[in-house]
Amino acid sequence: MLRTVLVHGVLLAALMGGPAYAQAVTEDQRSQQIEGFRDEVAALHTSGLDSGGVEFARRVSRHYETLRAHYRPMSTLTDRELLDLFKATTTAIFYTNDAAYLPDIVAAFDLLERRGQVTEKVRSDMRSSLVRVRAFDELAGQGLAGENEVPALRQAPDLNQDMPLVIRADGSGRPLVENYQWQKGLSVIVVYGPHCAPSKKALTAISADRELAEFFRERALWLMPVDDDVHVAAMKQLAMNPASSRVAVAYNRSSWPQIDSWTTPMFYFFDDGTLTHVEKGWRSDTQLETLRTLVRPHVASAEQDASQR
Amino acid sequence: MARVLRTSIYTCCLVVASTLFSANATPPATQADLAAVDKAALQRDLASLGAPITSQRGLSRHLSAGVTESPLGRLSQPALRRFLASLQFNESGLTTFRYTELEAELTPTQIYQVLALFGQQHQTPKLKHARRVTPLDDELMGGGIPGVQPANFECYFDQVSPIDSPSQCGGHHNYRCASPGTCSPSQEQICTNNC
Repeated sequence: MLRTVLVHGVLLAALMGGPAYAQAVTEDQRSQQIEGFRDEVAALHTSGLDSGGVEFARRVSRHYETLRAHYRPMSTLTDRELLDLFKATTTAIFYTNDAAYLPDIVAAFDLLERRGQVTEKVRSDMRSSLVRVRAFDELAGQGLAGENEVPALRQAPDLNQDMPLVIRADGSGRPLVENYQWQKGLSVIVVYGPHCAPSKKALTAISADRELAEFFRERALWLMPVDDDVHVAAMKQLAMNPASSRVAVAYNRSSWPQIDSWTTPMFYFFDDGTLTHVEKGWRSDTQLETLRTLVRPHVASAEQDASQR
Repeated sequence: MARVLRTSIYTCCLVVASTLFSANATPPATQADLAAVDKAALQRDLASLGAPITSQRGLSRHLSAGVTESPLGRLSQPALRRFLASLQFNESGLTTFRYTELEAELTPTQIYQVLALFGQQHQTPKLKHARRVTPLDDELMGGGIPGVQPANFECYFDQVSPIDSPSQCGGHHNYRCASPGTCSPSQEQICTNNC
């Protein structure tokens, strides 16, 4: 905690002060930069690139980093410019979930607060961004934790940051951050949106299919993407469903290189941890047949093993 | 004024409901038929039955009648342009809309009126930063209007069926319907149940 405060302190001083040459950037230039950034993000959306994907996030990062170079030092910015920068940083965090932008958003928010420019919307955006980058200490420090309760998380012992990380509700009242353990044989990661209608339709259809429900209950992780909630209630509710006993929220994107899109729903099939098939979206229940085709060899082999025992 | 609006919203719900049930009354539905009806789908139908706009063509027709007569006319020109540009439809109706401009410029009652054009009025409480002016605004945001659940309503599933929750629970905040059956992250947009 102390280290976090010290690191942020140094970074914030640098961001707010910064080199004097940056003052040469005019208000007009900054205005063009912010318009350009918005246009670029809008263009990415119409480009056909998957906005839940890695490449989309990389491009947003690149555009944001070009933009922010024109917004230093923050102390010289007008209120309007500072709000524009804050908004752009929330956009960068939204599409990347990258904690590297935490010092930017904290510095901008602090300055906005000192200038009396923090509206309810700004606070809400700040809160969302902090949850997305899992900056729960900052969330509490900024007095934003209470807005939409984020329970204190526990960490599993021997947490390996290089392995997939999940948040799991284990019934203790304090969700647990732990490593996901890959299953041997065929397994599925379902990227699932708790408010996404196609995700719900997929779950309903799978639950109603006895063969698939059994397979998904035993061999699927229903994984909710990083967003501005840790979805404790949704995890508990989802785990009561016959096809979804294993439910978690991704702790971050970076520990999940296997998942190249956080669009929902996505079905990633793995065999001994190696990706074998990806099924995207839920257009209709006819996709059940695709899932059955993928699952049947595993079910047949499991039945054979059972009969030999 | 608030009472008149509230009454008209209730009346609208009742008219749409009676239309729906009278349409289903011939031939009379059997118990089995009724049991087969998905509750969430029924609620979606209820909203979209009263929706004047369910396609790009319907939108054009609505706009050609003059925006000043429409609830959309309360938006500033730039906001209206951005909102209209964000709208996406499929054969079921509206699949994606941008909410920022509605939230920034309209009251919850006005937002309800705009979204009712698309059968998406149940999404109103999700626009939680909208400026509340009247008691009706408070009721809309607090779940006091039939069919409109408060923004924090826990509506993931009930224990019977995962999508047996009311349709207003649908609507993926900060997502858009990127392709049929697919919700992709998109700041300031809502992916509706029609996706």
